[in-house]
Amino acid sequence: MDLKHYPRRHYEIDQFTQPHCTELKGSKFYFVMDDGRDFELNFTGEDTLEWNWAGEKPKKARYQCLKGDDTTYMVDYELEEFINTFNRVNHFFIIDLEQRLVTRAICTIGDNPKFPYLVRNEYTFGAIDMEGMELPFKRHSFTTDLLGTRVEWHWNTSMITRHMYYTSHFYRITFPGAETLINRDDSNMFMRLPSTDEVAQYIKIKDKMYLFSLTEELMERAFHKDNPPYRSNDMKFLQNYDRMYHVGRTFGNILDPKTNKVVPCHILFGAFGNPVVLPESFENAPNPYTT
Amino acid sequence: MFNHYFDQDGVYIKNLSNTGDHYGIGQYRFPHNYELVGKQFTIYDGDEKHHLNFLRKDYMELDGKGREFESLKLEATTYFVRLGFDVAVVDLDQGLITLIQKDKYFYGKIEGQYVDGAEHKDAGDEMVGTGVAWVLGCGRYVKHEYFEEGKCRVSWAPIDEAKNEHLCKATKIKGPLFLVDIKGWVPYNTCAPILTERVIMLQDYDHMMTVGCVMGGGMTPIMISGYARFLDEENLVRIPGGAVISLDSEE
Repeated sequence: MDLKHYPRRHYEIDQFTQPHCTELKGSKFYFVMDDGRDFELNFTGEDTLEWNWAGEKPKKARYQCLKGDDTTYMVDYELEEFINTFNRVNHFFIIDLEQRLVTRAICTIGDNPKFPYLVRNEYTFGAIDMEGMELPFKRHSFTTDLLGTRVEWHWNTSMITRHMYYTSHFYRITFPGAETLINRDDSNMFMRLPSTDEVAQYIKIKDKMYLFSLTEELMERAFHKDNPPYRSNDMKFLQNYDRMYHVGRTFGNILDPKTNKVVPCHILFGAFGNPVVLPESFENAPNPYTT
Repeated sequence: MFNHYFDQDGVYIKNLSNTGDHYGIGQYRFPHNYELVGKQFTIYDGDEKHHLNFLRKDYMELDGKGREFESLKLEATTYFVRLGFDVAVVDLDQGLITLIQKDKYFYGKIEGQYVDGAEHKDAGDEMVGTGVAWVLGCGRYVKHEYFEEGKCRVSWAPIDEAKNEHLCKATKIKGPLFLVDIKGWVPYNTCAPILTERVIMLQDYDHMMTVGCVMGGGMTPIMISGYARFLDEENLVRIPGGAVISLDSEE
């Protein structure tokens, strides 16, 4: 049998996802956070945990976990009390056991009164309290290190995207053979946008390890009345530039093309990378949101 | 140099993407997985028994003898483990461990965890007709064409035309998971070390990813991971939204 025809389900960005990691089962963490709101995570099972703000009663959640390298974990879960509501809330962490540091993002849907699907991100950095060890002074932090990087990501057996990180608040995306996307048309929602720039954040975890985060915000702002296919997904990529792959998760809403209804989206993803040269016309095109 | 960028005044613009030269074919290796640490398994088949005891993150004992080990996880409950120069595929879902010691295959059932009726077994001709390129790093890949039961046509990047027919033993682990064991030399000037004699890969034909190990006399075993492209679709690209474009097409 040609295993190309194995009856696999249809994959988009989730085919090359590394398997969920259960190594943290049995671990407890106390995060000393820079905003003064310390946080505790207790990994009670292979996919269950208890979380709480310091001094408060623990709540249960089901988590997902992927590893960026041997000692760096990406963990996220949705708050159970909001799962079947419009106003979903996601807690996201990068737990860096090598440096004893943590990045926390609280991601909320429904916060924006005009664009309720938009996901709001609130980042806080901190350190992991470990008995007998001094708290590190160093922190994960927003960075410009990634600016100048052009990278091609392979998501599944046929889907490839090309990213250009060129300014602290935006990134630009294209696809092989389609760099002419700067010439806009009406063929789909991506092409109807004035450009493929999107709002982004860049956080340094450590050398060659970065958290790249984007929220599909501009499509929602531009086309929310037309019920576009992507309703503001928040995508977080833990990028390993030593090995040239990333793991990540997306949290938000998408349009189900079968029912034409907006449905929750919360999946893990992953991709393998390589360097890429992009056409000058693409790289030098102005960002219409800032010029 | 091609991934170095300079502005019009010759100032270097940083670019973190790179080809991972220092890792060679081990570039895309997944993070080590430590989920087996602290676990021990007794496996049996008939009268033969073996005991695996994973004591620390890089040390285990096989039948009481110490080994350094590396474990990579390919699927929720399936691990590819290199035990020194031997290999084990630990399948916790079915309660099975396939242990490869040199050329000997031992299909073991885990005491207390074995699921009745489950088995790792010779894949027969199930893979025949499959053609796939496993990309293990930037510009580093191996092409496999399973053209006949027990044989595989192999070429390594960048010399696609240097194809060799090697003996291949395929074991079906479960569903889309196959363990492939290919013995044979590699041509000079390819991405694989010239000392390569054996490649053992656990391949997932659902997620189209692999983990494995490249071994040979006189070389340190290299753990690998990677993704697949089908040989007849190498020039097709699908963009988000579903459109498929051919990179060969002038348009």
